[in-house]
Amino acid sequence: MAIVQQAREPWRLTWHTKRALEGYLFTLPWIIGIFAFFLYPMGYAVYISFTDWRVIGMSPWVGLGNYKRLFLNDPLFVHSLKLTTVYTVISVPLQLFVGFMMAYLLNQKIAGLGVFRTIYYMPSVLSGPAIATVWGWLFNTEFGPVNHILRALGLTDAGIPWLTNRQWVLYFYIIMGLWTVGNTVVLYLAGLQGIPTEFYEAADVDGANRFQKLAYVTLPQMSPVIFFTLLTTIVSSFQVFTVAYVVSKGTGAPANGSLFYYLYLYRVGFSSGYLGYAAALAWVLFIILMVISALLFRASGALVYYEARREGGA
Amino acid sequence: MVPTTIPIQSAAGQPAWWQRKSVREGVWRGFVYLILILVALVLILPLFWLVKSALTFETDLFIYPPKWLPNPPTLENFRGAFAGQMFQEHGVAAKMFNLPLYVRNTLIIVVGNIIFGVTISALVAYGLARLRFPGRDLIFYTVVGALFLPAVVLIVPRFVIFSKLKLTNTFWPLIIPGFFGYANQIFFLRQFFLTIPRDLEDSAYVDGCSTFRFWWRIMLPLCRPAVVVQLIITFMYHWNDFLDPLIYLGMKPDIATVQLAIIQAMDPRALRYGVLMAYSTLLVIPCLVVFLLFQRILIQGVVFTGVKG
Repeated sequence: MAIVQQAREPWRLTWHTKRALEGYLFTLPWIIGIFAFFLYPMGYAVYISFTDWRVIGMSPWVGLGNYKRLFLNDPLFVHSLKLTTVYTVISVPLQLFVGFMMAYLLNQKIAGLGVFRTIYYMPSVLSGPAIATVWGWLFNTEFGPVNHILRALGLTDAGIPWLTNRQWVLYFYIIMGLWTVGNTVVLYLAGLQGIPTEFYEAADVDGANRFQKLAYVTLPQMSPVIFFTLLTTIVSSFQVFTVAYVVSKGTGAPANGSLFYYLYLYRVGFSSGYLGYAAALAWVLFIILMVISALLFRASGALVYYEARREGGA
Repeated sequence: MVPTTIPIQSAAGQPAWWQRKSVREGVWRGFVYLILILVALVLILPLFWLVKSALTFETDLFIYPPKWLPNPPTLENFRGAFAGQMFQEHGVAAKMFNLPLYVRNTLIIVVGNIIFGVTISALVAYGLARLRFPGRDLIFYTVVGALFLPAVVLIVPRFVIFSKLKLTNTFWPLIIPGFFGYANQIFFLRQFFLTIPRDLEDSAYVDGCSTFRFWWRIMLPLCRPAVVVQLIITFMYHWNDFLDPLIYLGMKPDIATVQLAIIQAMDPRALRYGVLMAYSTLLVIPCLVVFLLFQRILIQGVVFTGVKG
C-alpha cells in the first residue's frame, strides 16, 4: 500500500532499497562497534597475552610463556580459580534455590505482594561500594550485629571470625551474594505468573497435591527461566569483584581468602602492571566460561522443557 | 457396601479439625507470611544498619553490645559529609573530601552515556526491529552474543587501546563505549519496538514522514516507558559502577566518581566511620528514590528482558 510507483524516475531508489540503506545507517554504530570494540580488542587481547606487556616499558613477545607460567608455576592462579569455583558451586545453586522458594511463596496469592517484591528487589539496585562498606561492619567479629544476634541465639560464643578467617570469609561472600537474590525472585515470579492456570486445574482434577504440582507442572514450565538464570548467575559469580575489592580494600584479605579470580586478575594487571599476564588470565577464565555455557546448552536439550508453539503463536 | 476404613471423623461426620481444608490452608498461609516477613527483615538489615550508623555519634559507633537505634540521633555525620570532613587530623576534622565534585564527575559520565549510549542504542534497536535489510539477523545475533560475552576478555585490551589514545585519567573511556550502543539496551528496546503495531509506520510513510523522523517523533514517545527504564538503568549503573572508574580514573581525587571516592577515603588515616556511613547513605538515597518512584516499570523491564531473552 505504501509502495509508490517510481518506474518513471529510475535514478530514485525504490522504497525497499531506501529502507534497506536506512537499516544499515541506523545500525552502523553497532556494526562499527562490533569491529572496533569487540573483535579488534579480542584479537588484540590474544596478542597481548603472548607478550610480557607492561603498563610502562617494552612488551617483548613471550609466546606461550604466560600460559605456561600460569598453569605450572603460579599458586595464586590455582588458588583464586579454586576459590572462585567453590564460591560458584555453593553460591549459584543456593541463589537459584532461595530465589525459587521466595518466588513460589510470593505467588501464593498473598496480600501485599507489591510491598514484598519491592523490598526483595531493592538490594539489586543498591550494589556498589557505598553499601559494601556497611557489610564489613555487620559481620565484624567483635561488635558486628550479626554475631550479636548469633550470640543471643546461643549459636556462638566467641563470635564467628567472618572476615578474619580464610575459611569463614567465603561464607561471608556467599551470604552477601544472596542479598541480591531479588533479581532472580522477580524473574521467577513473572515466570510463575505466566503458567496457565488450566494446568493446575487439570492437576487438581487428577488429585495432585502441592508437591506433585510443583514437581510435574511448575518446575517443567519454569525450566527455561531457570536455565537462563543458571547461565547468567554462573557467569556473574565467576566475575565477582567489587564487593571483594571494597571489603578487603583490594588485598584479598584475610590470607588471600577473598582473592577471587577477577580480583587477582585486577591486581596482576592493573596494580602490578603485568597486562600481558592479566590478558592470559582473562582468556583462561573466558574459555572456562565458554565451556561451561556450551555444556549447559547441551544439557538443556534434555532438561529444559520448551513448550511447542501454542496455537496462533506470538 | 460399607467402607471398612473411615477417615478420622468427629461425631458430626466432619473430618477432624486439623484435617479441615480451611485450617490447613490457614496454617500454610501463616507459614508463608512468616517466611516472607523474616526474609524481608534480613534484606533490609544492611540498609537499616547503614542509616542507623549514619545517625549515630562517632563515639557510640563501636560499642558492644551494638545499639539498634541511635540514641540520641545526630545529623553531625551528615554535616561532616557535606563539609567534606571525612578524616580526623590531630584530633580536628580535616576537609579532604569533595562531595559536590564527585557528584559532578559522576553526572558527567551519566549524561554522556544518556546522550550517546541510550540514543544510539535506540537508533540501532529501531533498525533491527523495523527496517529490512540483508544481514540484519546476523547483526542481531552479534547483539545477543555480546550480551552473553564475559566482559573479562575486554578489560585488558580496551585499557591498552585507551592508554595508547592517551585517554586514561579522563572520563572518555567511560563514555566512548556508548558511541556504539550497548547490547543490553539495544536488545531491550528492539523487543519493545517489536510490540508496536506496524500500521503506524505504513501510514506515516504514506504521509511522507522520514524514517528518522518517525523514530524520533513517534516511536520513541510511544515507547516512553521503555526509554525511561533505560535512562534509569543508565543512571543507576554509572552511579554504582566501580571497576571501570577504578581502572581508568584510578586514585586521582580530582576525577573520582562518587563510589571511587569511597575507596580513596579508605586510607589508613583516621577515617571518621560515621561520616563514611553518612556519605554512603547519601549515595544510596538517589538510587532508592528513583527505584521507589519507578519500580513498577523497572521490574517490568527486568522481567521483559529476562524472560523473553
